[in-house]
Amino acid sequence: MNILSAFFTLFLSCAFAWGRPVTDFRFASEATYPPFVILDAKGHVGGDETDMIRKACDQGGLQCSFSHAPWDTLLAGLRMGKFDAIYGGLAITPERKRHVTFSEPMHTSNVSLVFPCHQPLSWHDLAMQHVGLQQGVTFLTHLKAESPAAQLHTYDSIQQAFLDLGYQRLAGVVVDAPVAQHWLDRTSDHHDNFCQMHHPEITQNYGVAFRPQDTQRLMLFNKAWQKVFHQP
Amino acid sequence: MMGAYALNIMQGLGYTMALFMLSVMLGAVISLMLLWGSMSPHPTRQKAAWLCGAVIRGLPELVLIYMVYFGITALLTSWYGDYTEIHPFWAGVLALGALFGAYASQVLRSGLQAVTTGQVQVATTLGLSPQHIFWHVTWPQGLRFALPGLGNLALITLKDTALVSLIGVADITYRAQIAAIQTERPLLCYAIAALLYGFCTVCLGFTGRRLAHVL
Repeated sequence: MNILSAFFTLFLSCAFAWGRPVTDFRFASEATYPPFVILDAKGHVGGDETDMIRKACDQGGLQCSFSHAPWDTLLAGLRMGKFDAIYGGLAITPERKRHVTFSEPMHTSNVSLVFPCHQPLSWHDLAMQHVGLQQGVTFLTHLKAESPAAQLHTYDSIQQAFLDLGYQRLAGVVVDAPVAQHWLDRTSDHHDNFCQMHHPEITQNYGVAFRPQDTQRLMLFNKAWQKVFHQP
Repeated sequence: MMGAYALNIMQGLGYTMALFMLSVMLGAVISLMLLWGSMSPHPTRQKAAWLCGAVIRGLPELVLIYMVYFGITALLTSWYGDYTEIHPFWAGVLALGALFGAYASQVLRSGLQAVTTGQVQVATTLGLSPQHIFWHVTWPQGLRFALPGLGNLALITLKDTALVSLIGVADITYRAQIAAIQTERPLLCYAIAALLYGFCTVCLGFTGRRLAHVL
């Protein structure tokens, strides 16, 4: 019997998910979206948002673990209970609020268009231009409505879009402003001829998403967050 | 920074080799079961073995991997009522093992059929039992005939392990993808991965030749 239970524990990775305390949080993100989330050489998830969440967890007495998962599996994983919360440049939008509950906004930012400085682009001049975006971003809908003739290409990771921008397969990349700035700073030694332009209207709040029915964890997280970042 | 990522890609070699060896071991068991079924005098067993082999061989590798991983996870979740997933590594072993087994059973069958009927007739005339004839006359020679085909299948299985990176197994390919994204040096990262796979295939080819020599 012991051998059988040991086998099942080994075989099923989530046997430990049953009966977990509510202070146990499994966070997941698509961790190739720096500076919000990054995956280091050892496979550990880091980045600005991860650091902020970790700080809130420490102060709020929550046991938090962080993992990387492909973007298109995050929402399904959250719904099915594989993760307790997802984050990583996750904009709070009315569309997403229909499926998940968001924490208090962690930060706010604009959306940027990155392009080669010698071939300037503008937000109103994207018709027939090849533009790259991260799969699943909410401003895709906005962009489609604003520039219906733009050739939009979605990528699993925004870093792949930046690679294509470097190889001149794309005329521009639309991305959250901090991500654009991070890429421009990081690659300034060999990509010094790229510019960025903020969108005049789109401003997004970013938060952590929870299952709608998981109100206890949401409450605990918001409490921990307020304790750390909203104290006078 | 590149050095750390290169080391990380190399550490994926352990996962890839473990995945490959366990898949081949499971595949060997499955192939023998399918072979036993297909050579059985019972029509039901024959049909069941043929159907299993045909279905598995008819599916693309990636579809089978997704079916095993997401399908078993959905079944377990509905069974336990709480999210329960099969570990991606074991899902990969099951899928690749099934694929290896389905193809290997055919290779083994053709190897056994290549043994001339004259030898079986001679053995029968000498008064050997059917079991004795199979284990001492047909099987050793059939295995020798099947060995080159089995070696090729093992090579294909080794390369198919890269597909399991898509369900999150941290093998060579998965780590190379992450490194390529983070370092923005895709050529170098995938070249390291290619070298590691090349090393594995050379080792496997050498082992296959030694095995053929021994048999």
